[in-house]
Amino acid sequence: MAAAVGAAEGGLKKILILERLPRLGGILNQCIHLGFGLTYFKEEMTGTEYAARYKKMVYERDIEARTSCFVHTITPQKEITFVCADGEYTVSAKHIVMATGCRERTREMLTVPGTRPAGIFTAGLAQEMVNIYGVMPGKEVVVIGSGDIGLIMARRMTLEGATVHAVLEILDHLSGLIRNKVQCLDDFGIPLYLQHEPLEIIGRDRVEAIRYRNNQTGEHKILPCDTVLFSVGLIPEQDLLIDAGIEPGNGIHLVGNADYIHDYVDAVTREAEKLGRLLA
Amino acid sequence: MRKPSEVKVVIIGGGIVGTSLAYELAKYQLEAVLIEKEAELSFGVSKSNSGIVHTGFQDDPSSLKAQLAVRGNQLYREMAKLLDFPFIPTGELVVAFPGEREQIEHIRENGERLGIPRLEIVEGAWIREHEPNLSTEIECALLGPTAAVINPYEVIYAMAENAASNGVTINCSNEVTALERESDCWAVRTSESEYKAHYVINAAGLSADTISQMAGIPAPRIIPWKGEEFILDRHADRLTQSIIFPVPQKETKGILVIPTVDGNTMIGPTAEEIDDKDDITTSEAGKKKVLRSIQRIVPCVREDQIIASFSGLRPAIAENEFYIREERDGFVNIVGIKSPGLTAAPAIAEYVVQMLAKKMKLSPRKGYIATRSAIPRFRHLSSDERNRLIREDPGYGEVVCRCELVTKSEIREAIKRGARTLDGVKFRTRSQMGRCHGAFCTMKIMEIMAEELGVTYDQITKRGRGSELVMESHELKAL
Amino acid sequence: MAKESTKKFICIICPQCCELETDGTEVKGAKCKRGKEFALQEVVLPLRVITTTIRGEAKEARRMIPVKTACPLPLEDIPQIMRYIKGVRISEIPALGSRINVGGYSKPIELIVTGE
Ligand SMILES: Cc1cc2nc3c(=O)[nH]c(=O)nc-3n(C[C@H](O)[C@H](O)[C@H](O)COP(=O)(O)OP(=O)(O)OC[C@H]3O[C@@H](n4cnc5c(N)ncnc54)[C@H](O)[C@@H]3O)c2cc1C
Ligand SMILES: Cc1cc2nc3c(=O)[nH]c(=O)nc-3n(C[C@H](O)[C@H](O)[C@H](O)COP(=O)(O)OP(=O)(O)OC[C@H]3O[C@@H](n4cnc5c(N)ncnc54)[C@H](O)[C@@H]3O)c2cc1C
Ligand code: SF4
Repeated sequence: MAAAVGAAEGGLKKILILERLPRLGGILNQCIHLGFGLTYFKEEMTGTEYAARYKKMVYERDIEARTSCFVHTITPQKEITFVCADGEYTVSAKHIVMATGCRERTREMLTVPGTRPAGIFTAGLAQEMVNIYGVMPGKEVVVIGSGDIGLIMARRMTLEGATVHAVLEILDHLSGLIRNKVQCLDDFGIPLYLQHEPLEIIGRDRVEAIRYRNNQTGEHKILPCDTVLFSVGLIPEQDLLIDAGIEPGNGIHLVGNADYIHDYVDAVTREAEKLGRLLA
Repeated sequence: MRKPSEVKVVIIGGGIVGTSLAYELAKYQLEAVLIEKEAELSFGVSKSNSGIVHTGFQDDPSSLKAQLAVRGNQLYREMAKLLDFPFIPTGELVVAFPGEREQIEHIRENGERLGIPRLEIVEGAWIREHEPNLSTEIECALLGPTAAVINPYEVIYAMAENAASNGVTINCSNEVTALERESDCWAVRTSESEYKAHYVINAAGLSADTISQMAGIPAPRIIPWKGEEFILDRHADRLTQSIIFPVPQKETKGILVIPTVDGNTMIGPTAEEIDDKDDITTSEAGKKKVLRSIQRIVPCVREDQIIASFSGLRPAIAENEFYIREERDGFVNIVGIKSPGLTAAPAIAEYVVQMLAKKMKLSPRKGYIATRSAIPRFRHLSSDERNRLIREDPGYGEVVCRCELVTKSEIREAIKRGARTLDGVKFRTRSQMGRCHGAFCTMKIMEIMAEELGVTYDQITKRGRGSELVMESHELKAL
Repeated sequence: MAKESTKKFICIICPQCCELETDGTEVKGAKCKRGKEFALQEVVLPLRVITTTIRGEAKEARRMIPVKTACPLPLEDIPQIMRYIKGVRISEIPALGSRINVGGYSKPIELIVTGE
């Protein structure tokens, strides 16, 4: 959205936003927590408020925004093919801005040995469950990885009445922001175990426990739980380019989390607007 | 409890063997019921295996096992066309390192005795040309062009849909709890209902011994043999063209490289005798073992390419042979169907139906429907076909699983055809199987399931009771 | 007030994450005024804005509506306050920025709708 707004500000006509979900806003729509906009708008907002503000800016300008449109192919000739409920279409563009965000890493989640029961989720999926659908992924929770989404979800689950037993981090330091550790873990007495490695997921149909090792002492422990959330990093979503074997450049641009992972939306916005103006 | 339904045949177990029987019996004018204790068909051993339709040459040519495998291989070719499921004739190579040539020559003789066509020993130069990723130390190999790969669950759903369209009743989430001989029939009691049947076919996989005991009939004890398999990431897709076997070990066919139907490379399985029929864990030791064996054959495979793993239990018995017989009063035991059980299943069904034909008159079903068509797979369609589908049903324009490009209507269709769990939807549509492993689509699929099945989110399971995914937040105890 | 000893916090007001130290009157380490105020409040009674969702029971589909509390509330009372907020049900989907009152707690709580 910010790239489109920037481009429109710069005077560019014929801007089209294609979004696969039914509404604009991306990951912000499931971020109901505060911490957005402090540097860009000089005002602290929730992710949802930030998204709403930007949507308004898009609708006020000469920008066509189509939702529920899934882009599945782009070509080096800058043709974009997408599907929506009216059919499959191909459009061509002078510039393509890939603001496709990121996806959560799951590699670790899948190679942790043990069984494959229900109750293993990425933190982002858990966030969608709680904040968008209003359902709980579980009651007795262990979070693997100290990424921001994991920290935010530890608090969110606690607020909703679940017990978060621990956040396990294999590294010797926190990987999310320190302020998120303070207000999400410390405020609620949730322990963070650094240098702890998950070894095995236990449970036949639903998660029953997790076995982990303290890598400093070598000690093993089994922690009963019914839910394991993984927050082990984000990967820029560049599959459309990778699939087509295209490098960015020549009118194909990456921005936001699709380019590299940002901690703050404010930086994403600034970069995207700048790119938008540049294209105009 | 409802009044017992009277039927001709009850099949216990909805794995590949039981479902093959349902499909085979559907060809005849009789009433049959398939009973499965899990939430869906294939959730036993049959969903977690290597998916290979073997040539049949690994087994002793005089055994029933080998003969049924060879016949099964032939039957799959016809079935794939009728039932519209993928059957990829990759062929297989049994590779011989220096000193092993004699062994593969021996296997070839066995195979020829079984009537397996086009067996050939290929030399180093052929191997370098056709399978450049194989170790250069491999001296020669036995080529078996009739080997193929399938997706076992896809075959099971295809056969079941066909059987159901021909009037066979399929009853999941229904566990057989007691079997009793009455004057002229068997009373089959289940967790949900009761049946009176003239014939009972026990195809209960790992529990086949228990089921036989329920009927008061001694049968060989099942000894579970665990196999762990590992899937490599897509950079290793099509690492080999054909299925690669080492020369066989005593008990198993060894650790293989399998180019799956979906294009991934799978390596495994291990073979380990265990006591627990529920143990489906994967282990670090299993991974190391598989890697070590595979790296000898395909040196470029690396540990960090492993992106997923699963394990399955082979329902073995002490004797290295299938145990298939009519015991008494129309009770048929199919016990000890370990590998190549998947391959042999259609032939086992044919064999058992021939056995029944000696006891009762089987006449062809009137109005028999011989075919079944698969759920349209949006991803594989041309743009014109896609637009045609979307015009008919806009749900084909709503992408739900972004990694595998699965649309809302495919999910709906899967549910219409019997999917009741997230795994059932996954196996029928391939949603949740992509790189994000369901992080993007799980909730969206649950939303469609809730709509279509008229259930709440907390009733939706991954693979049956006990594997619920979420709970309603107000259920949590007050703070 | 406990002035005897100094307390240390990480400021959570903005991304600078300053390390604050205070004895209850003086604040060290803050790069700005808001951080000072935060530290002084934190020693007395830590306050937090709560962000959560309430259930909309609108006809079209059940939907969760994101909300935040209009002012920061005592951290120690959050579990109790959450219980009152979770009891709220509304039938219409409210507009962004509209306010919803929740009773039950020692003082009225005002929620602001943060999404649309
Ligand atoms: C849990 C969490 C907490 C965060 N907390 C904070 C915070 O407190 N403060 C802060 O400032 N920042 C925070 N951030 C960071 C900030 O929200 C993100 O960096 C920013 O929103 C990313 O924006 P984006 O546009 O790059 O990506 P996204 O918001 O992910 O947008 C990408 C969009 O592209 C769409 N898309 C992808 N592929 C396709 C396709 N093929 N076809 C059509 N559409 C497609 C997606 O549906 C999505 O809507 C947080 C992020 C997360 C995940
Ligand atoms: C790792 C591994 C790899 C393999 N690879 C291959 C291969 O590549 N090729 C090949 O040909 N074979 C292979 N096999 C063997 C093959 O998977 C099995 O032989 C075959 O799946 C057995 O099928 P089944 O129908 O007998 O058993 P199952 O699929 O287990 O079916 C039995 C069913 O009965 C149900 N049941 C049990 N008790 C009851 C009850 N009381 N009431 C109702 N229902 C009940 C179970 O839930 C189950 O669904 C492999 C096996 C393993 C473990
Ligand atoms: S003291 Fe001021 S600058 Fe430092 S973290 Fe707090 S609000 Fe930010």
